Amino acid sequence: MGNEMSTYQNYSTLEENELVELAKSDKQAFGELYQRYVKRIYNYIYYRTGNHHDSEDLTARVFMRAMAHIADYDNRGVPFSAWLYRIAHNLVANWHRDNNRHKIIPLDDFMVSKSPGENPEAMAEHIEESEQLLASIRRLPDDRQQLLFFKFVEHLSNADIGQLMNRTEGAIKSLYFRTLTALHEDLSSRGLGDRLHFLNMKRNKKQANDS
Amino acid sequence: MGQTPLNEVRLQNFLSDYTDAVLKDSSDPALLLQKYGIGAEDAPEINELMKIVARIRAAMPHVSPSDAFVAALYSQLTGEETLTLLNRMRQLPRHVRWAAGLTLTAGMVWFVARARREYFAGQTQRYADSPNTQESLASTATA
Repeated sequence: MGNEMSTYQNYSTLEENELVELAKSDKQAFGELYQRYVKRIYNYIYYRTGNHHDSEDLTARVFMRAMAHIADYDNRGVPFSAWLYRIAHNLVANWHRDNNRHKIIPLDDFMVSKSPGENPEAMAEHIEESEQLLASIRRLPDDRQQLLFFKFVEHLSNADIGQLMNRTEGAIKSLYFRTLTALHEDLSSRGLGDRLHFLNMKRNKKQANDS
Repeated sequence: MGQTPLNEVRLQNFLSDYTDAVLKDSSDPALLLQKYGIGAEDAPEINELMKIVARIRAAMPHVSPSDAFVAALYSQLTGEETLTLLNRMRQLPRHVRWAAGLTLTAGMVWFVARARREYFAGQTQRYADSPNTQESLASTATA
């Protein structure tokens, strides 16, 4: 009983592997795993769906599914987060298939609130630019979208991304280069490269004038 | 010291380092370009990719789920169900929450109005039925 008590007290200090083993039979241990990963999974889903409501719904489903199947989870040297991301990936893929929402997904209110202090015109331009770029990102193959998420939102190193995506560090660098090139081509082919460049220049000029 | 022609691997390494630097707010493009021996002749192509890196960074900030959502899901997963109805309502779409709120408010208004009407109707009836009232009505009639 004493052992059980000490386990309860030490959840937050446990290594991931120990916690995962405990979580197979202990809801509180699973709760600790949840606390560690809920924001990361939510972010991942948000950037694949584009709205908070569906992100909450799918995040809940990811953890429900993870809890239901954690007894079958087998650690083969791959981080637990990779397993969670795989569940999230499958649910997002189903969501896209069911809702046929591959095309334009508007950014919701969050983006508007992220640029305090800018005037409305600059804010509108920022939102327009972000929407066009994110739409372009969502046209990329899944692995490239994942890579951009891990790099720009999670700020993971190439080695860590490689572990999550089961690729070498060199392969990640190569994929990243091809992703940037593909994005550039996509934006240019839609005439957005110049438009975005124009918006950037306009904003920089305005900032220079203001200062 | 002659640099080898800009090959793809060098470009990949440069963009990877450049992105890491941008994400850490410690980017000095000139220094990095020099480190990788990237000259002016390669600049236009690389410049476009560098701009895209900056744009992606601006378009992909870290987002946060609401605290209410995180807490409600935690309770659901660990079996610590608190305020179940409220938590479930919080997870409903906004328009459904509005509709539920309006229905609840309208229902309460209707209930209070009905109770009030019945109360006053009862009071009036009691007043009309009371002996004092009957006597005073009778005396008024005889006078």
